[in-house]
Amino acid sequence: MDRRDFIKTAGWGTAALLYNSGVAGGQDNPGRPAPPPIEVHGISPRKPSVLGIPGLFPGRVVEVFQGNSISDNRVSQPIVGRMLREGMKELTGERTPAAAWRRFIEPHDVVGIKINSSGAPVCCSSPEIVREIIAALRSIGVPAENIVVFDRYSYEIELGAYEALVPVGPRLVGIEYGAFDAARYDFDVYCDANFFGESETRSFLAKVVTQEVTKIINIPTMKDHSASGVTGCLKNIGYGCFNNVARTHQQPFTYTDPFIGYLCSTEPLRSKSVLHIMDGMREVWHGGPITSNWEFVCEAKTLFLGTDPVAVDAVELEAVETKRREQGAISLWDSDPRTLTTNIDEFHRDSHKNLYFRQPGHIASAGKLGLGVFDLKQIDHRRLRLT
Amino acid sequence: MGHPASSDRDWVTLLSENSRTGGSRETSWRVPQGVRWQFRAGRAIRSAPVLRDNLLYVTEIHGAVYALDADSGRPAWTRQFPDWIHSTPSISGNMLLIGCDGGKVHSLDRDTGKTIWETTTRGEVWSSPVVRDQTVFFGSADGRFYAVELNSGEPRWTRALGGRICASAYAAEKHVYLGCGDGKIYALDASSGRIQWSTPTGDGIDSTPAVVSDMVLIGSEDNFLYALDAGTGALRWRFETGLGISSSPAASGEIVVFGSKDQNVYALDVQTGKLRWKAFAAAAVTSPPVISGPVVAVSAGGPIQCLDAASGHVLWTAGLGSGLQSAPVLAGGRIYNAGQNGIVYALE
Repeated sequence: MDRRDFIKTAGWGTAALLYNSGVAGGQDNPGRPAPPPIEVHGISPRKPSVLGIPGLFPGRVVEVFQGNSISDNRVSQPIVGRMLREGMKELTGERTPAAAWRRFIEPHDVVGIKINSSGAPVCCSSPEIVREIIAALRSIGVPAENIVVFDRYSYEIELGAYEALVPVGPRLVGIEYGAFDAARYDFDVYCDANFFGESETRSFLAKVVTQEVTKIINIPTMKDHSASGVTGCLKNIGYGCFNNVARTHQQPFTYTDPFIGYLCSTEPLRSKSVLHIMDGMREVWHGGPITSNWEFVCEAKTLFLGTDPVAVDAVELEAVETKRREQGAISLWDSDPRTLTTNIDEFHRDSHKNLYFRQPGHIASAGKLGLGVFDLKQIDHRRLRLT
Repeated sequence: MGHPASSDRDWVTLLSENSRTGGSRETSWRVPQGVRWQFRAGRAIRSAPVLRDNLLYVTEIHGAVYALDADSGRPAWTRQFPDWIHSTPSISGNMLLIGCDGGKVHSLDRDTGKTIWETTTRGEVWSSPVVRDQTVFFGSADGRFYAVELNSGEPRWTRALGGRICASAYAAEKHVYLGCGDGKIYALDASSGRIQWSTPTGDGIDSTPAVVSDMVLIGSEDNFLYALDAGTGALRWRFETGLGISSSPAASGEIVVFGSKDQNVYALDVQTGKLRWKAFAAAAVTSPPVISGPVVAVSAGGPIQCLDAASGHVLWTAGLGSGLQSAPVLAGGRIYNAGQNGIVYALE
């Protein structure tokens, strides 16, 4: 099947939208120039999916806590399985987990499970949760060979040992192994913006998203992020499915706000991302996204479920900010130039230091693009505390 | 042993020989004085090189296979496969055996790179093929362990297990030992594939076993290194680290050395499991360490570290670029290393 045939048979058409960043212009930082125009060149569905972001339940977040779900850094698969089942029922209002899953997935779907392995081996999507999701998909009739567990960097997948820990059947796809490795990206789908005068101004979307899967279940982790403030649902699919995104950071500035939102709004990523299950077994409250300092990692013992990535990330942001406040760390919103360091080791040791003017405002900006509800007062935040 | 290394200048499989001892043939090592040559493969290299008859064989993640002259680094031949390659190749006689992500194992003529035979599985083959008694053993992500004839690739037997098989096996005279994604360590009958025993661990296994003094030594993602009775699978001892162990242990004399994702390299007493020393590597250690006489060489994160085997003290480091499984080759007075940056170095 060539590209034209694919577009025809799948009912998708190309679309290019040029934004002047007026919709979601990003938060102000001292001295940072305004974001450049961003061209979003996607493949739009002729008939938008109701399952696409913000999905079936805009503004709804289900938080499931179980005190024994993780202990001494070991996750209990039976317990997270129960948390997942209860969370899915609460999210959808269905009486059984199977009925809940069927709201999003049909047996003929090719389901991509987008993990977050970038913090491996300290904090990455728990294989126990991934296995429970695979089991749930299998239980509603999705063939094992129609399940694809994927992430951007193959070597990070390996650091998380997913190649051994994922069950037999589903495929495991690393989009790239290292820098300058673009073979598995779709050159027809990209976001184009020149942030700092870089030579390559396009970020391309992975073929596994554009050509292989029909639905995506997003499994981000609960972490702060040195550039974007936190990394959650939005960043996991945005920066985790497009290449050439680190170019948005140049100390002390970053354009993660508004770029993350634009990436997530790109079709077909937006329409295929139907469910977000944030792994809050561990919470990295400083030093993220890649840290080995256990001083800043706690066991939050929580899952967050939703179809609205903006709402889930807004809840995550509040939780990480609260944790930082409890621990005496500076706010994620801090823009005092005296907190900046160019020494990454110092940042990883000191929760009063920043590498960038962080941009947690990327979540609100994504909300302005129609990707979900940011205002905590408008979020239907449901808490389940399992015993 | 089917085809052991033919001289101290050869290094025919992961950790030198099928015995997985780490190739402890050198009696002394001097600090390398410089780079003899470097070769840019262009794309990332994940696996370890192998060496025989002065040809160094390197596989690139994107499917290219290079045979490099060990003196000059010049390619004798190059072969491009359509699939990614995670597997460390193995040498047996005139064959170069390579597993591919597309599920195939290829047997190539070592001198020309031409295909002798190929066989197919239904999952990625990340493990390094192991040869013993005219049989090639390897596991696949399809959950099966395969034994095929060395000369033809024809199947001898297949054994379905409970999880993905990504790490390499250890082939002994009567048994084949391996770890599996289902968290179990298996001993299979080498002639039939029948399960002789299996011992569970607390999580999946991504580490290749070594066998020393009738003990199977292997790491698990449950953070422990296990020492099991090779005949029964009974636990002799186990040692806990801070994170999972995918690094394959190397054993030599009285010690077994391995890395952990907790960023340390550990040396334990083989008989008791007691800690002899540990060395901080500043990055998760997933590649296997190599013991060569009085030194331990390990690739972690960025540089290669060469440690004193008796104390764990750092003797020297070299920032050559590393790979997740790219153990250096220490042979013939040289060190060969291939890294994630796609560059192959020869130091001497």
